[in-house]
Amino acid sequence: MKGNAKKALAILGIGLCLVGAGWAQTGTKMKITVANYQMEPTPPDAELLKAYENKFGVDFDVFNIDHDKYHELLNVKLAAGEIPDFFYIKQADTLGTYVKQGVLAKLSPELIQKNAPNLWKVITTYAPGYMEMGKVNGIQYGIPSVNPTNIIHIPLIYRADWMKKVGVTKTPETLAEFESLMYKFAKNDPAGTGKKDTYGLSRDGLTAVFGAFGLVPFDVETDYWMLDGGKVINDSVAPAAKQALALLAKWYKDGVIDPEFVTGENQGGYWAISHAFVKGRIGFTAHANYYHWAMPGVFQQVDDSGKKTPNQPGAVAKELLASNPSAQLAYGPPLKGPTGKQGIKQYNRLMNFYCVGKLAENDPAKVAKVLQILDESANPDFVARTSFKFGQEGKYWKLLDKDSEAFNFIAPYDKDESYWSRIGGVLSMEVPYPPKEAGAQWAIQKLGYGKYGIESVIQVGLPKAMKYKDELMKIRDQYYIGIITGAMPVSAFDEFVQKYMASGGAEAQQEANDYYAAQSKK
Amino acid sequence: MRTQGLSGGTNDSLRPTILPRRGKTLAGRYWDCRYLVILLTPGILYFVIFKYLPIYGLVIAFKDYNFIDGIFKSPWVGLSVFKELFSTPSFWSVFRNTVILGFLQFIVGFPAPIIFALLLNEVLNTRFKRTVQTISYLPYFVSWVILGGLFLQFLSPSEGPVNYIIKSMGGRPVFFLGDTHWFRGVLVATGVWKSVGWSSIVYLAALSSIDTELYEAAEIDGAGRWMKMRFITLPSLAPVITIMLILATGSLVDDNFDQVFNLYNPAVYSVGDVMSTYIYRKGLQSMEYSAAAALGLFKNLLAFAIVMASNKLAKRINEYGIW
Amino acid sequence: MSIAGHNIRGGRGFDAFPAINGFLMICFCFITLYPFLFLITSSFSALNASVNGLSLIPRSFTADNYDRVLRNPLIYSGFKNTVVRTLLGTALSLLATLTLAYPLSRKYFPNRGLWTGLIVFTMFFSGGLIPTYLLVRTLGLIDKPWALILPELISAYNFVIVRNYMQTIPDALEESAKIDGANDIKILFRIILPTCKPIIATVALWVAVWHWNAWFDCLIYITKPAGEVLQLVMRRIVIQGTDQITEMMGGKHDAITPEGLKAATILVTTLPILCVYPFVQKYFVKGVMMGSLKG
Repeated sequence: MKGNAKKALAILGIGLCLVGAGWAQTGTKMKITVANYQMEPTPPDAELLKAYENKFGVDFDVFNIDHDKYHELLNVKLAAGEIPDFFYIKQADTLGTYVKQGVLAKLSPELIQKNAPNLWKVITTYAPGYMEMGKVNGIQYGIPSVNPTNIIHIPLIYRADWMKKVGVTKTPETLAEFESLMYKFAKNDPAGTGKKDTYGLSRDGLTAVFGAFGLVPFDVETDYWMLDGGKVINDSVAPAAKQALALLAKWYKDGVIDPEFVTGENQGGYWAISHAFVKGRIGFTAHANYYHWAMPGVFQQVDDSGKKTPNQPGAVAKELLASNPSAQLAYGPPLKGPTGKQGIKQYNRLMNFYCVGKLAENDPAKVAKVLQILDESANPDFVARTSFKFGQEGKYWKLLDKDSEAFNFIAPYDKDESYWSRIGGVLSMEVPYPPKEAGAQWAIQKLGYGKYGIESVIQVGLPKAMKYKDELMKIRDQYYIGIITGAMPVSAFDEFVQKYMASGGAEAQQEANDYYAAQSKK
Repeated sequence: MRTQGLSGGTNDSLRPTILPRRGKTLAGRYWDCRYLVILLTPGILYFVIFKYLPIYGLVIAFKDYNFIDGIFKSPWVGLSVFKELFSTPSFWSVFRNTVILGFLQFIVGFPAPIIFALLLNEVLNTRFKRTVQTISYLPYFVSWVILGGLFLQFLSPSEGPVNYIIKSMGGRPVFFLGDTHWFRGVLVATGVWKSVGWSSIVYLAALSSIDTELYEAAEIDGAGRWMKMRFITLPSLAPVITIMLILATGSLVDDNFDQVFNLYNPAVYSVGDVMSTYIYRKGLQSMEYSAAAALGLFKNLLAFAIVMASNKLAKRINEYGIW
Repeated sequence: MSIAGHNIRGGRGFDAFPAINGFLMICFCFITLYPFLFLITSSFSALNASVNGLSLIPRSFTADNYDRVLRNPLIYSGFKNTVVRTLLGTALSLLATLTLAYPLSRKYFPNRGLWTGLIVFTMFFSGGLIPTYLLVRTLGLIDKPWALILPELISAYNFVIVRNYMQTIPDALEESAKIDGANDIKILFRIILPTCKPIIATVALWVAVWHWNAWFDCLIYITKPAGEVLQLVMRRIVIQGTDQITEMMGGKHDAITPEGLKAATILVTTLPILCVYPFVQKYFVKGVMMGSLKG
């Protein structure tokens, strides 16, 4: 009897353990709160959300923060103690501030490598040095989202039909050639109207001129830093900028620069349109990106049926042709300046950061889970990682050509820019796999726009630089515009540098140098 | 029927005489007006809960605020936030711009709706009057995001109709939005255009409640249009105008962020950058909540002081005031 | 004042004033309408680089913009939410403001100045966004329509205007009612309010328009798309084409939002409220107040 009782107890015990284990497994799932870039709010029962809840074995709670006021709204939630586990930082230069506020969890390269191996690989291979940008005070907090197409610098666009009219056959390569062409555009009536109603360039064209001196000192919302004799300085106070400004002041006086440049080339609406260029006021611009300016047929694309066809015009090229069907475009290389530099602005490849919220720090399983979710965006299979954001292939979008990774959205989603937010494609991030699509290849191979782009040597926002940024940029804008329009003499540049440094520029510069030195040691 | 109170004697006669009075104690006086107290309660509750409970947030201006510590535990720094704010070089120019702009907008923008209402009131044809009124408040509904782009084209020296007219009259085109001499004028003019119709509604409402008998009587006595306005219309409008005036002085230090933000550019920062645009740029980049709160508090204190002063002044002149 | 400009007792024969006035009004209308016509034209235009300078004839006619606006699934729920908050919010706000203003308009009310002062104080000083958000959250109002109605239920500004208007009502009205034995609540609703029609209409209009146009409170307090208001949905559409970063994140690079879409959006959102005003206008009829005192 005792033996049987013991056996019975043993069986009961084991049985209970099994039941207990089973019960524990079907207990509450891990909950992950998500804040990411969204174009529209995501309903809780969204298709993709449910699919990934199953795949990852979690419950998602999306914060639905409107992207337009993203930081403002996120900060309200943070202040109320609602810290997302999946934490997207839209403005990359605020990473340091969030770390200071104590709302981010500490990560480490090992942790990332272990849980997000594909992500680690793609960033360290194609964007070396960028992973380090996610470190603050030596500790890894954020994973950078790197834009692959930003290796293509901003375009240099000329009115080819105007060039013909004024007798110039080759697109300018040096600053001197450029100057000559701009004067011709302004003085020699390239539009054939008989009136003096044209100019060479406007606001965005100035970028090309500064680029010829190796600088991006003006008209940018983020700081561009450069090396000057081993020291890191802000482009705005570089000595060469004075030369560039002198040149521009002369052009303005001679009526080569559009006097309305201060209000910009775009007059509202779709940001990429240069109204000044499209309406035929100026003959050169560097506004927007290469793909906006693709004229029909400059490269071959794969169409819906899988055949190779000439491309459709880019958005702005389309507007230009609608305004003026006989207009033609020429794409020029970055200009070579008198100091031997050559280049033009390139947008920072560092777009945003993805982090883990502080609340998850005590739960290593949760941290690992967030990293695993991020890893999905780096899936080497193009279809897999594209479906992660855009939904099922064949239902929402169609793959046209595997080699050029061309795809189209299926109607009605082709006219619905934000559908992917609605169906729950809100767990993805941008990864720097090299762009294979035809337009990008055209820009890189044919136009050579993958070279000579000027990037900032420091792409993160350092605390002092952030603190003084607004003030310093305001001073910069006032002086630069003042000098160009002739309201101030070129010699005022020295006064500008003094004022700039005294208003916090010197502190920011010291900080930048310290940071650069620390980064270079690794 | 008692005739005692009809001559507008002391207001004591209005207190309930039907139920027993509780006398001169405070509680007693509240009891006498208990129905009024009932009416008052929901509103007061609202203010206590939704306005006074959150008011502790004002202390952010005196703290080095961060999220983790929250409002209560963030370190107290006293007036240093204000000191830092006031020592920023651009602060005073920004402050000056705000005040000048507010002043100009007040001088032009306050009388405009009144004059418009008076003129509109004189229109005979009811249908025409209603049409004009409806059209007049249309601009109020369009946001500055749209209007910014619209005015950019409208006032463009090269292709805008305004400069077109100037050029055809032989003048030189004016770069309204890029010229520091004109920018303030543009802000005031466009601001008035957008709001004159809407703001006139309250005056039209007041005008409509003036007894027509008064006008008829004046007509019989031979009064012309302008005499009627001087002796009947304007005095009747006096209470409304006074209150609106006092309240409007509060916005002397206020600025219209939407408008300035959508119209300004670096060429006109020296006259166009105002407190709200300044703090917007500052706040957005560096999440400087304390600075933003300090600036807000500073503005509010000023507005409060100005309104109280104008209230006292108004009471001295014609007895109407906010209280 | 519809009495014509003739003087009974002679004086100038022809009075130029009505003609000048009329002319001024017409000019004013034209200046005000022009940008609107421009917007309407733009909303029917397919292209972006605006129509011929400032001409009013679209270069290529299309109803595409309206199609896109109306096809957005959130439009209908947005419309419903906006209508609900506007009607409910305006009604409650009016009620609350009137019941608050009336007692404080009575000169004999104890501590009248103090209560008014406390209210006016809030017009200038407030705790700010974060404490208010915390309060709303603590009250459990997140994602509830009440979060859009309660926080701004009574505007101190409106309160001041209403209170002052009520102060100008002759005492005779209240006196005769009290003599007849009515209590204050009855007096307010039966006698005072009917004479306040113009100011009620004005404040109702202000509050209704505010509710109709409000979007920021929805942004903070509502997280589910089904609870969003119309203006928020519209705003999102309008700014889509203007954000550079948006495009880089959007995936495909040739999706653009035509300028015309903006215009179509404006028209869709402002049209309803514009249609309501003419009905409100009839409350601004003269003699409403004085009539009650005769006899």
